[in-house]
Amino acid sequence: MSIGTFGSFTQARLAIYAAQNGMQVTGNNISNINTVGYTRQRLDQESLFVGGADRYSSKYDLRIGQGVLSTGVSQLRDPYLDIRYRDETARMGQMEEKLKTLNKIAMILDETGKGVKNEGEDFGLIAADLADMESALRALTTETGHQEWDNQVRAAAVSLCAKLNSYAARLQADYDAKVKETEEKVSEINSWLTSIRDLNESIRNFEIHGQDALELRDTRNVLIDKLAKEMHIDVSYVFEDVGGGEQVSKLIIKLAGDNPDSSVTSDSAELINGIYGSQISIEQVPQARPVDREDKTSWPYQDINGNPVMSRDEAAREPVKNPKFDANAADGPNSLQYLDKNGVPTGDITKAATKPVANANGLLYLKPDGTATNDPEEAKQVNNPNFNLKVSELRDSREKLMFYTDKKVTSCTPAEYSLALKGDPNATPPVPAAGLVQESPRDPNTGVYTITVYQKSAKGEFTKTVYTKTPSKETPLDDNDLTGALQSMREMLTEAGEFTDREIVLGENNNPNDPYRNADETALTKRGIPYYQKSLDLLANRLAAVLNEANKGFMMDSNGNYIQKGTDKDGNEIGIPISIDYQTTDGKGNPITAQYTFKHGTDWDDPDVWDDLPQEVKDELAKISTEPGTETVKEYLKHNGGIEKGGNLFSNNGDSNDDTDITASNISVSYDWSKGPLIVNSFVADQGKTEAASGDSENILHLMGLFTTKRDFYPDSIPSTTGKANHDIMFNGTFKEMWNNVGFTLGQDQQVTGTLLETHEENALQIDTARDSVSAVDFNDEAMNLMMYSKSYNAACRLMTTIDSMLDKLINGTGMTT
Amino acid sequence: MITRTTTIGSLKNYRYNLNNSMTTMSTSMGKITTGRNFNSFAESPSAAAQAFQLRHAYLRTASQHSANTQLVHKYEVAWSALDNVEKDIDTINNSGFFNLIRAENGADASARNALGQDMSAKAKSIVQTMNGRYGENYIFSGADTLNVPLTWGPQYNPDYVEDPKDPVHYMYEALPGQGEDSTGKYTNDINKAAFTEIDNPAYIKAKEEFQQAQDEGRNDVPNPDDPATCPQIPQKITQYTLNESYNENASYKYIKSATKIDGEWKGEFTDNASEANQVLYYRGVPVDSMAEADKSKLDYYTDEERKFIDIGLGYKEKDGSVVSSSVQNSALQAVYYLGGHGTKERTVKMDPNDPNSKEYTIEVPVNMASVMSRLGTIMQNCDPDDGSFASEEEEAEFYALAEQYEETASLVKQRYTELDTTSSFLKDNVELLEDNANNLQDQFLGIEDVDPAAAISDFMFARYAYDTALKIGNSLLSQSLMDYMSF
Repeated sequence: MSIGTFGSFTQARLAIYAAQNGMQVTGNNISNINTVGYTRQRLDQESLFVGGADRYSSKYDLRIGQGVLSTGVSQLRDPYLDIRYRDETARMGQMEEKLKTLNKIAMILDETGKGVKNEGEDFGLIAADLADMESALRALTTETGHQEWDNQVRAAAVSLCAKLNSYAARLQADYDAKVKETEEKVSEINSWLTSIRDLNESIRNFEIHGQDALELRDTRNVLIDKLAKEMHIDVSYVFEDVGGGEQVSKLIIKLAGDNPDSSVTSDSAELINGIYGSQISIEQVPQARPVDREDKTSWPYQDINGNPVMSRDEAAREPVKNPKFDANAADGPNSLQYLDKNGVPTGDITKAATKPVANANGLLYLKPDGTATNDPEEAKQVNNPNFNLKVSELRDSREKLMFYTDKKVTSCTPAEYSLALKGDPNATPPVPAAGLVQESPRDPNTGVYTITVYQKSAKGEFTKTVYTKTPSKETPLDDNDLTGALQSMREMLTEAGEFTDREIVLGENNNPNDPYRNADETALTKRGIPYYQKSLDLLANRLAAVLNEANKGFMMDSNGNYIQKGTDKDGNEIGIPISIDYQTTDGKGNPITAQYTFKHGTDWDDPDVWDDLPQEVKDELAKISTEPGTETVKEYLKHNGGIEKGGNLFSNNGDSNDDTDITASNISVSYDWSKGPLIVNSFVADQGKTEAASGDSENILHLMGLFTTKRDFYPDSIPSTTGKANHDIMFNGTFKEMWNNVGFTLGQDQQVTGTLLETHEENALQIDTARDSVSAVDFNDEAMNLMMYSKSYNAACRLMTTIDSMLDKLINGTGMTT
Repeated sequence: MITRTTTIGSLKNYRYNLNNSMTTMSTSMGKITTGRNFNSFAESPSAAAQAFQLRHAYLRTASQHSANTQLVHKYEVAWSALDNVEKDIDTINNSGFFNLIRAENGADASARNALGQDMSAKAKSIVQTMNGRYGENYIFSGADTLNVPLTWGPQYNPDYVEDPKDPVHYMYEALPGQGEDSTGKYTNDINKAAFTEIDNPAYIKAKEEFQQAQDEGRNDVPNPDDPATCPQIPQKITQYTLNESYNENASYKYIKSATKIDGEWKGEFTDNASEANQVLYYRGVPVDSMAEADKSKLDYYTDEERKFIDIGLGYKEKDGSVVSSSVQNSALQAVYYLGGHGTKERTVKMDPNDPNSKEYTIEVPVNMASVMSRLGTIMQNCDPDDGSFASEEEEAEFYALAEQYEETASLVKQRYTELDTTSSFLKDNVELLEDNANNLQDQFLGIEDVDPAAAISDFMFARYAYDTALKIGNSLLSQSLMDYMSF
């Protein structure tokens, strides 16, 4: 084969083009060195070879390549590193978000180095107030009866209450901000999902037209990286047949299947499937009405007699029904009436999960205008308290629902083919022709339909291809389906550690309508903002309860007998022991009247102590009780001359003495205490009197001792967890130690999270560097390319000049004689 | 294959490391400027928790120190008061004791009037001293610190009954609701009350059987004294005991000038409070009262009443009551430090050398202020000319009181020493608390405070590292092949 006269020019021209293209790619790389997500590009070149043999070619013909072709531009990327980077970045995102929130909590609760900077005395704030209150009580023991010293105790208490209120308010503000942030994050993630879906569509279109759309891929990769930080995802690419033998790549993004519970499948929900994309959202539920002790219609449950009750423990229970139950279904899950505790349908009522029966006559929800209603539909819709997420069905940019296609090919008989083609005129009634492509109606429940295609091959074989089309569905996510920053946000908003509702831990209550429908066995060790709010509540509540209890009682004599006022023979007021007559029998069974004197030293309201009372005394108390069954010794003393002293030091409102439902946000010095001295110095009357000696400080010392006494703290002893959280000791110590423990727990969590974050951050950086080593632009590389393409260009031009010179010689110089 | 190092990769790494370097420097700087090893729980949870615990212990110790110091001051004032009292009672010159010696001496008998006046004045003086206050609190009023402990008031007739004809008044301490009838029910009505039938043979037999069973360790025989288990046996009801000492004087409310001699009150009674003999009261209870109810109250004050203060002895409660060894009792009872309360029978022989000399058994007060007061009265009753006693009974009473004076003076001295010992202990405890507080401070500062040398050298190193990182950054950004290309 020989080359045409101007073939060599073409060779030089191609070389010039290639060098120019190379220079352009290099220029593009240099230009985008700072573009986030940019993947360096490379010019793909091929040596041009014109193939085929000449009919009369000689074996001595030389076959020389005819230049260079620029075949395309490709990206340099390592998918394995992308996977590793996204895995790591999800964990990093989770820790980063968690640490961010914990640091915010620490700004409120961590008192290290805080406090009055008097000679370097960093005694904290609440810590110092607790110590102040104890010291003021100690001082009051020496200065009993002097109002200014009582005032000092009160001043410490006022300061303590103010700090607890302030901390609680700031924690609530943090919580509210986190809710807002989570809602915005969900919205941002949705915008990324939409962008990825739309980019997929554009890339697909470009690919169909033979273009790689590398820049769009870069943009998509940046979005995927961002998404991976929020939620651990599994990214894969498959080929999609677009007809005519053409295939394009299709991106599929799914959740990475992180739920440790293997029975859960929602942790692999699809977020993106090619041109279809989903959206995530926080479940909305009717706004629950706050429980009002005075209004039974607000009580959420009812007991077995149908009477409203406040506590879930008192409520009657009913089996959890299968929401998909179909009475007409012959078999399958929908034929089973109940759900077990794992959410699996069952027909056996004994295996069914149970839930408390809701108050049928209650008005348990709030409408948007704030009025009560029992219709969930009418109620204002608010975020699910557990911030349950759901992944929507997949839709394309025109809102068209995605259907998954299952293809099944079977052989069919000629008769079937014929029937599909022509119908059956002999049938009674005759079956009309449905055509060779038949589409079934959609199942009203599942939305599934089929397309059946009948075909006859060239060889005369008949086949039937059934395409089953299953619509994409919304997927409610389990509590532990996600890993990443979004999950951290949820956990910071919901996790309450030891205060967790035990039904969440045990998964006893698999109620589809319950916000905590999924069991989370690890919930007891996860601590978010609610944990710290409730810890603060617990401290405030116990402090108030213990001190209030110690500051109320009945006067007694020095022998511990509760007394009433009486007079001696001279008419002077004296204390007389209070007793009750009761009927009993002597050793021989003869009825006699005995007398029981109530002595101090025991808490009669304690059921164990109450049980120690002689039955006859209890019977006697029951006889005189206004509400039999609720009688207590305290009630008896109250109505039978007992001399009551003291009152609540703390209340839930500074304008009252109400000590119910005290939390950190409402704890106040009671109205009575705010008006004047209220601390009872002693419940022991002076000799023969009904009042304590003026300087007797027995009870003040006891109050002071309460600050040094270690006690058990139970997570179910605050209003929001009573009857719900476990009754296990979560801490044993003094009030101060309890407060210290809050800081310690927070600090430890911060430290562990910080260490993990650092580890994940370093890992991510290393992987990112490795990724950059493949994909990032480097000045040295590009400088080499510049030189290389510049020289190539020069050489190609020189080639053209040389060929031109040669041709000039050939055309103008050959055969010329002088 | 060698990893390809890229400009972007280098920049990312550099940014991360530069940030770390700056954070390290910032942390080092923070340690120097705050002087603390850590500024949050997160930096060192266990150290922060430990430091807070120690700081709280420090505050508690400081508060205990304050309470203890206050108590020391109270005891110092108390000690000073008792020192004065002691001087009034028992020094060689110008004391009650001195007056007594002189009054006993027949040669100085004519001065008995004057000595009596001085003795009465001294009695009043020690009462005033014991009524002293520390700050706003009475020192010697036990737990009743806001009320004056010792007062003078009329001497009540212990046998007084409002209406002597009412049979209830024949009973001793028949308080409302304390009697029982034969069925075991409580009553105030004497006519319904069951009476002791201790001579009933059935009771005696049952009592013997019960006692025998008890001695043998058996519980199968009912106690005849318990109406609940033994209702059919005539009961020994202790609540109602006939007041056999009732006499006609019982119609007078006050004693004008009477002494209980040989078991009988001798002297004058009155219904007029202003005429009544003035006796010492402690917190509203007559100090020299012979009535059981009064004695019981005073016994409680002196033996059982406590006003505890937490001075760092390891405050502890058990079964709802404070463990007394874990706190300090600060209740000082005037009646105790003045020798006690109540009366004592003393037998006096008018002439100790004469075996046939007349003897008197006299109830004399025990408390020093009462003794001095009564001595003063008797001495002032003496004849102003020759100093002879107003009567033989008064003379006998004088000697009985003189004996009691010596006994009580010894007791007062002993209790004064007790107070001194407690005071010393409290002072020692103050020092101990100071040491504790210092130790605690050393401990938490040891945990919290930075070692300046280490902190500064750490900071210097961190700063060098940061400066170097900056220089590297400058080189990293300026150098590449691009800078050397020339066309």
